[in-house]
Amino acid sequence: MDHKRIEWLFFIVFLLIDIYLGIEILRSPVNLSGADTTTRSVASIRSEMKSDNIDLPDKLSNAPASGYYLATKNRNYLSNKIDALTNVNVRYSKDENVLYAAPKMTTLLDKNPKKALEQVNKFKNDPKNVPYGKEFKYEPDMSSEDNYVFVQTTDYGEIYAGSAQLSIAVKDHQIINYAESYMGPASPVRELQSTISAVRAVRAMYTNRELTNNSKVTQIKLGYSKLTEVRGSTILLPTWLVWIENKTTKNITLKRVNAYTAQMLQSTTYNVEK
Amino acid sequence: MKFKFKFGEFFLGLATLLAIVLSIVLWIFIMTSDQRFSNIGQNQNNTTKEQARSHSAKSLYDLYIPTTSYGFVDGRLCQLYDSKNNLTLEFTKEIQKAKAVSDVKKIVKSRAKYEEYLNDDAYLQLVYPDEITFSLFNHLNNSNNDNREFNRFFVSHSNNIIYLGNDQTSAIYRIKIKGANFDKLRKFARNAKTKSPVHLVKLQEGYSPFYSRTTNSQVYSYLTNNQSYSYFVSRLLGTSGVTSKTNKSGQTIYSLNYYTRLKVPDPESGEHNYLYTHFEKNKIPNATNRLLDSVYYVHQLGLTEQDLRFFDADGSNVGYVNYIEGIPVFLNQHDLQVKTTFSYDSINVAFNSVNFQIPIPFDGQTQELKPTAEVVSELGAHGLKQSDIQRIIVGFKIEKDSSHHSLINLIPTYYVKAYDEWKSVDEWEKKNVAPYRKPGETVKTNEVK
Repeated sequence: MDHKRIEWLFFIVFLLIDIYLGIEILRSPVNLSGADTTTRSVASIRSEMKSDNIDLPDKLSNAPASGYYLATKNRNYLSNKIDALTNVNVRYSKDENVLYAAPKMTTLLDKNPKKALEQVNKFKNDPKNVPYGKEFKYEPDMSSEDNYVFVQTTDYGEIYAGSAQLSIAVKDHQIINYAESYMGPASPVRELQSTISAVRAVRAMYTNRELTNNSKVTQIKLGYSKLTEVRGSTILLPTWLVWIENKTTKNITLKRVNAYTAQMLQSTTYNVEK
Repeated sequence: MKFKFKFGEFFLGLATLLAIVLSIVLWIFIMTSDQRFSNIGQNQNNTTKEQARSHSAKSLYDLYIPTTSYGFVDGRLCQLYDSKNNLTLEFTKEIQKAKAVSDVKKIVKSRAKYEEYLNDDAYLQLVYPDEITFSLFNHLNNSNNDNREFNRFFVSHSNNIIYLGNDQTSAIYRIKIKGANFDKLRKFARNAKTKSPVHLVKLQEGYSPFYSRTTNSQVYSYLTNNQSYSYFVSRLLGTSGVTSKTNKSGQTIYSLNYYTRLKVPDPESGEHNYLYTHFEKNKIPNATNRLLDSVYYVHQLGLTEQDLRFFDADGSNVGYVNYIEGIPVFLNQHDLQVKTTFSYDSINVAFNSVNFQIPIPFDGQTQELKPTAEVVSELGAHGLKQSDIQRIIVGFKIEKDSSHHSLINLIPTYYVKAYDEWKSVDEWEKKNVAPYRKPGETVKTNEVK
């Protein structure tokens, strides 16, 4: 081998080494421990999850949000409204604090889902049909074709709790019945505080093994969840609500992350059938 | 032709040499990159000291939020508070977006001029409980090593200029900024629900708000909990190679490799005071790095940081307390939640594990607070002169509620810092201050007119 060939060989070998080292530097190291919420960490968490076959929404906010501790007074708000419900047959369960009702008149819903939703909203907003109906907001991520789910709204955000929900059952394009629970007006018990970002909530779920392999995060929202009951009041706190779909079974699970501390709220996990 | 051939050989040789040198440079860069190796063995919630010092920890702004806001109502200075529209949080959101477009320029250096700014109704004032350095938030300062301090933001009518004041030196600095919009803050300030008239009085460590009227302050209640000692042992020392030794008073000292130890209170004592010590021969860091390093240690502890705020820094100490509704909470009469102490051979972190877990709705209970001047004059009668006082503030004292074992009430009361010690007014009034006093030590105090 002559001198020139050796030089060429050296040049090519070191050029390849340079390219490899360059790529290594450009590639973000997998950060298993950092708590910062920089773009790098978003990319990093995405790549970690991708290797576990976990899909995240394209747009996941990295910005902190804000929220309050809220309190509602524990009272039977719905039982006082029964007399006003002249368009429905009503049964109130004191133990469950749930009002069950079925329309006296048939309401035919349009086959177009958008128009059908408008009709269901109109039904819900009539105080002769549903008490406090205007305080409930349609939640598409918890609803299905035959069950329209609404969550209670407050001046500070939506409450995602079984005790603040309206479910309207539909069959053959007709409203069959509904079940309603209502927590009453909410007021802040603490000043407005900053919360973690959606990215940090997903990261916390992943590191706590709450995101299983082969799943997809379909939606993430900030809403209020029940924390505890104390001195005749229910305390609510801001939580990141994360809808997770199992890619094999297509089951959707709603999980909650404390938006102040990034801890999981295990007790309130439940399955949503679609 | 011959010349062309030689040139090609020379070029090939040069390119090979460059490729070799480049590969060495890249290899050294990779092997010395902190980013690649700093995370090994760290807990998932921890930021490294380097990350903290590089200002990249997100929670820097969570711990370093101004805690008090002032504005003018009918020409009178008032402390502003609104639980629905948190003024200091709104300010912090905007100042995070701000970028300095000019160097820091000192525009005021006299006390008289400084007090003109304090009494100028053109400015909203957002105040830290103690001085922080310019370099802490490096986007507000084009220099990373600026250890000049400030404790007060003056927000003018312009979104492009912000003034930073230092109560102790009477210096005001002007920075031209872009990217922040304080319109919402100004609106919140105009409509703030609580506007308590105050006048600012210069004490040893800056201007303290003196409340002009008797006020009825709300008593808040919380359900509290405490992390177990094993949680802190595992976070701070790890799970292997840890030895323990219990002393006569029931305290247990857990040690790791002679250099790191954690003193844990007796579980039977009902106390929750821990002391973490890391022995390390080192220079005491400069002011900025003390603040940043203390953030690192706070994160290491794994306490709930939701309400934790920077509170006090002197010399080698940096302290943090929980702020509830804009008021600091003192534990065990007068302790801070976390206090980091830097010395030449060790770093000590004294902390309390109490966590204010669940706020209880306000039940109407209030506590009467006298005008501040009256309190100061009473203290003077007990031997603690106004010139001895470094700071006076309203803080919460914790009282256990008999109705539930983990229920506590936060009682507003005056707290005074004198002779570098925080104590409630009640404690100072029971204390003989004569041993503290050095002969000939006097400090002039004057009220801002």
